[in-house]
Amino acid sequence: MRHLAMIFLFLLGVSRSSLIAQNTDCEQTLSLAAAEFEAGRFYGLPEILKSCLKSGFSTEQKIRAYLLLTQTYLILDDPAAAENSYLQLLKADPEYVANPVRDPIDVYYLSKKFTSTAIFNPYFRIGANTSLQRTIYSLGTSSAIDSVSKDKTYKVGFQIGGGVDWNINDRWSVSLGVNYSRKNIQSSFFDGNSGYQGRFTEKQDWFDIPLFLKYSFIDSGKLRPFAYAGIAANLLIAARLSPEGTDRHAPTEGASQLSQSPDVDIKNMRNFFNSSFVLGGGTKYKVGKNFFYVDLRYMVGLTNVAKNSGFNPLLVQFQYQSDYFRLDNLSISFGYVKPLYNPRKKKKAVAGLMKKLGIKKSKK
Amino acid sequence: MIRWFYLFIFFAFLFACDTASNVKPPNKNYFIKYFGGDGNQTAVDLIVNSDGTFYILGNSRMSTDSIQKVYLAHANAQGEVIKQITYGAVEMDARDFVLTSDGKIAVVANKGITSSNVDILLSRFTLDLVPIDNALLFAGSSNNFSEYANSLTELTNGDFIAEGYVMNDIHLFEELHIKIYNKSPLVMAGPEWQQLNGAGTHNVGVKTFQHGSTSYYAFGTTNATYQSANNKFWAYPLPSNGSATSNGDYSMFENAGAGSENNLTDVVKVAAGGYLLVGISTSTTYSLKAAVTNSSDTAIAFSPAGVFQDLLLQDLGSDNGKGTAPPFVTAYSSSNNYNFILANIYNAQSTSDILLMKVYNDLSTSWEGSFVQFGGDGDDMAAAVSELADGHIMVLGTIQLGNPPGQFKIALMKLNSNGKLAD
Repeated sequence: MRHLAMIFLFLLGVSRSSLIAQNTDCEQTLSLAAAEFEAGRFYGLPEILKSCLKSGFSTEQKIRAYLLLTQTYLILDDPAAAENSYLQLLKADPEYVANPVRDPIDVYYLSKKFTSTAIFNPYFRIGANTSLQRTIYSLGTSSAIDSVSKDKTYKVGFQIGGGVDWNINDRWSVSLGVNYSRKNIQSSFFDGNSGYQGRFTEKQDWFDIPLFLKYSFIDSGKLRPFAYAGIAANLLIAARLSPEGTDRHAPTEGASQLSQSPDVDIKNMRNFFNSSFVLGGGTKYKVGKNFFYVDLRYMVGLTNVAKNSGFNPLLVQFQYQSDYFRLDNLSISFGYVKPLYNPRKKKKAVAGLMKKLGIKKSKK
Repeated sequence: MIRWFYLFIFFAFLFACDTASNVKPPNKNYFIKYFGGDGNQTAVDLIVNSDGTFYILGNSRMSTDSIQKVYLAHANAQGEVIKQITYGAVEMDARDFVLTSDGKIAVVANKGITSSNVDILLSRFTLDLVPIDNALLFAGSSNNFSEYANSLTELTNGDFIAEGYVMNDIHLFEELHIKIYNKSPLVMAGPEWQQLNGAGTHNVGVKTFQHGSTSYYAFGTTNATYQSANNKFWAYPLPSNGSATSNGDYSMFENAGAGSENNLTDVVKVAAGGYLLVGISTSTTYSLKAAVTNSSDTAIAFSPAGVFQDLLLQDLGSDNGKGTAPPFVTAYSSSNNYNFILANIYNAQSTSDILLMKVYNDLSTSWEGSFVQFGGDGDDMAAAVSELADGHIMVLGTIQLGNPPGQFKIALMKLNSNGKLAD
């Protein structure tokens, strides 16, 4: 075992030494190429760089090499080769942006023909949420409504999900996601006429499918804030109620009697399909080629979540009758975005798509 | 054009928001509302007013060591209390109430039901439930016995008949029909308007109806011997002076099966003519017994051979070793040639539920499964059933709330025409 470990360390050392040596050689190659370029000897440059481009350059060295080649081919009036070199540069660094101050002006203009914006950005998210019931009709079993006080308490749930951004351009994208959400709500009432107090905690399981238009305020740098708005289909797949009642005057005056029950399935009191308006924003933080992000989202419930289920035991055991309500949801999520970069020459695909969708008129 | 379509779809979705303006209010078409304050309240009777409001009669006991009072409430069309009162200084048992033709609420209750000398108290209230007057009713002139009312009938001239029974030294239970003149204050009629000595030893009056301007039909239960000596539904005519002529005037509707005790609990006049009689048939189990007399009002054969036009028996289960709810059946006859029957039915969990049944005048059942059932884990009891002009069914009952079951509360349910708590 000890021998094996020593052999492994030896091989690792040899490999690392070889890599350092190779990098050093390729750095010299790159310096040589730069010197040749400065000397105006352009024709030999591709051959000088060829072996290191094939194997040996670091990413940073590749960028410098392809930039040099791009300049070379532009000078040699070989636009196809120049474009190919710039494309290879973008593959090495998809977020490379030519700068007229730093880069030769002809490279800068060439760069305008290209984009490396990812067409699709898959993402994953996880976080916490809280929900707000917005009452449409306040319902209850007490006849003495003036004696009844109702209250709602915010409860924390969680969500996990993912989705994909379809980037229309550097700033605008359309996003489609799927999230599983556990949303918890709590309501309570006190009937001063009968002395009965009920508290009901409901755990709801949802599949939220948001579709929204996202705008990125900044498309470079480490921090990239964004905002979005859209709609969501909200599928309520399960709802369970934890009921608790206290009769403050039972069985005798001044005494209390507690009513409890295991969680009760109340899916038959809830609508499966719901919809909401989605608003949100956050910021991405670039790490390597990918991003971590934080997202604050508010979903404004549009549809009545509750429905009548007829006579049921909860009416009798806990005097429970669900309000008719819409459900808003505020969530904060942390996630990870892995852009699927696709360096390419720009096309007018988006404009064409807009036309096909009828959003943009064709020029006649 | 198509872009406008997309915009339309988007905004339609955006603003398709459920609000009170586009979601039908559920509590207008159906509801269940509990009435009463602290303690136990039990339901007795319901009046549906033409303006959509309700009057509810019941009994209320604040705590186990307090007296039971009469509970009276006025509720709006959504079942929300407008006003509620209780009254009674001794143990009370509300039995029946009517909305009088001169715009009052008249309530009949048994007073002092834990004492050795129970009397009947007739009380009148304004429609705002403000007390007007009352009269203590009893048999004889010396008030030596216990009298119990089962119902109150307002006559066409505004007078009343309280129907019930007296426990005297002749028979254990003797039919009782006390007439009260509509005066201010109320005045009890003379002794001829009091008791009828039935042929049996168990003669209990349930309800009186006015027939013509000066004659009356009374219904009840008797164990007078006819085919058997068991309890049986019983009808008898009362002449204008309230004095029954002889035992030969009795019409005894024999039970459908030998060995059963048949106790009448309610009678309603059928719109098409005749009377719907409902009660409990007891053998080893309880059955709901419903019967409709001949449709001709005058053709009720007041003889022992009086027979039913139709008969219905519905098993209500057994209460052996079960809850405390007594067997009970009541009915409502609709002007649309059908009737509703409400009863206590005993479930497998050893408690009672509320049974609601719709039957036609031939007593054939209307709903699939014959009846609908309401109830929880406790003893839930039927009290009254009625129908609104739009076909909704109003059910009044007592529900034992809680898990485990605790307090009893009066429950008013507005149901659809199929007896469902739904639109």
